[in-house]
Amino acid sequence: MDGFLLEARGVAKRFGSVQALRHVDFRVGRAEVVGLLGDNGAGKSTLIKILNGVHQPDAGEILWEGRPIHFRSPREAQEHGISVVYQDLAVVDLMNIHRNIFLGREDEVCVRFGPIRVLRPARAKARAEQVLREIGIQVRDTDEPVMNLSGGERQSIAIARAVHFSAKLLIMDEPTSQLSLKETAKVLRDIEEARDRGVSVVFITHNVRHVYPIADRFTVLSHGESIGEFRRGEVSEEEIADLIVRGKDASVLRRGGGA
Amino acid sequence: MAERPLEVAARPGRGGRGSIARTWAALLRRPASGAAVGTVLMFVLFAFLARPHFLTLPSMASTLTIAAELGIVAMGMTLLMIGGEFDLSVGSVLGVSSVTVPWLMERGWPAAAAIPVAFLVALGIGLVNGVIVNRTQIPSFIVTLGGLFWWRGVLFAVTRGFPIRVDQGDPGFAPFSTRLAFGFNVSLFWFIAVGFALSFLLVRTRFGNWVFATGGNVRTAQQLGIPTKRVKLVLFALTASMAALAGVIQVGRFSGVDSLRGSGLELEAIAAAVIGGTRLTGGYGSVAGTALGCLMLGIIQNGLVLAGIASYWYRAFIGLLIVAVVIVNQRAGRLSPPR
Repeated sequence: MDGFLLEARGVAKRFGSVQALRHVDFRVGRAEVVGLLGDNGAGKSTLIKILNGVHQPDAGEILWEGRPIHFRSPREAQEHGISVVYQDLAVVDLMNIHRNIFLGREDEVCVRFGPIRVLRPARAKARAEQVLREIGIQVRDTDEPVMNLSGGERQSIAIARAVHFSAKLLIMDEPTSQLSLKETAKVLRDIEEARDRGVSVVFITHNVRHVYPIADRFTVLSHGESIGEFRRGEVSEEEIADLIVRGKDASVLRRGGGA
Repeated sequence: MAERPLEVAARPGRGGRGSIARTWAALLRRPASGAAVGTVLMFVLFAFLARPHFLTLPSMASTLTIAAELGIVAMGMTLLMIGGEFDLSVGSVLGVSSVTVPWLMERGWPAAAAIPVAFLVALGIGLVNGVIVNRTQIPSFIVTLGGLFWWRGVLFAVTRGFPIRVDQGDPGFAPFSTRLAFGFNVSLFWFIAVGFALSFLLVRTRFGNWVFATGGNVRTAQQLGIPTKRVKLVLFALTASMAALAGVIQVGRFSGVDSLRGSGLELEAIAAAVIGGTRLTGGYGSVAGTALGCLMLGIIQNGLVLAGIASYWYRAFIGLLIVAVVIVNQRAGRLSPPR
């Protein structure tokens, strides 16, 4: 593999007396799905917020497309192509599907008249349908409010949005933790579809079963440290689950990256 | 990858019905539907109770005059409420901006110069409300409750509680308060113009999209890069400006301003919005619904008078209506946001 899309080296972060991250190495290749695993409190969210520009690291460095970078805000990270989907914040329930897809980035479906940007709902609807079709999601009617969709479908909308706005890296926070098995399967297929379109996906979860089927690479965090990085096939689902639960004690498994 | 349906939750009873029935079903889900039905019911009710006076042009005119003045304020409030905030100070802002006009005119200003100042005063108050809410994160309910008392207090202090007279003949009032045939007022056109403008702003512009997102889920909106604080600031300024417009219209219609002008308006405006289907929790509502809500309140207020029923009952009626409408809206279930 030639170069990583994102590489974090020795990242540390302290909040008051809490050392949230001690020393984390984390990397994401191009067009690859990475499972970021760890128990609650392992530091997954903190790491994501650092990658996304919400927090600034105390130590360590972050390389984006091979160059050191420093995101000062989520907006800045977004401009570079990093898009984060939080499980409960993916969409606005009371707005319809096409408005949700273009929310915050309406330029493509607007006409400018002086200072006001007028929406073109028919265009938004047509474009939204196209965007959803592209990644293999069929919607009966994008005028439906998102509140009528299931949890999995909401995630799909968010994935479609990220793909359409050519995110290079899509970070999904526990995207399947509240979904049924059937819905989880759908979301996983959407993630694979996104990867096939060249988008790298970081899939955060505390449950390896949710991500094992699709991840190309796994990184396990425990107590603010990265304690293992594996490529698919190097370890079994059970071994990873064991590592998540037992932390460094299961260090038999500890190896260098398999890139 | 094979296409697969994004299964939308089944719609009970939608399948086999004809397109007319479906169109009706869709219409009934719009936020304004409850208010539309209620307006017709009230109209019929008072056409009977207050016959023959209710079905006359002067009666329509007086209904619409009430609806217009309330509506201009309530429609501004509607956008603010959809954006997830309240403004309880609109009544006091209306009072303060109203008084600004005769106060300046007593000091030799023509109305045409005093009226823009009244708007600037309101705009300033609205911006202050917005800045305080944005900076402190204190609920706007509290911030503007403070504003309600503060500005009413300032108004009393400046006027010492005495009404200020004004020369209605000043041509500066013409665009706001001209009386037309049969007792209709030019305010009706303001009501219509403001209604269309705000409705367009809400459902057909990027800003309107941001208003729905800000009120619907502020964290998601922020996550998507929407400047939610700026949205709120604009909404507070807009709402206060609408209060000033209604205030200026009233200054010209009555020949003066007393210190209680606008008292209680805030709750009436919120009532009209809620009757019109706007959610107290934000993210959902329509300008048309609020306009109909105001029309309904105008019909009731005027109808009670013409029916010879003591006008005290007006407030009692509003109380019943609010609860009834919210129950109906809740039972109606499915919501239908703008396309």
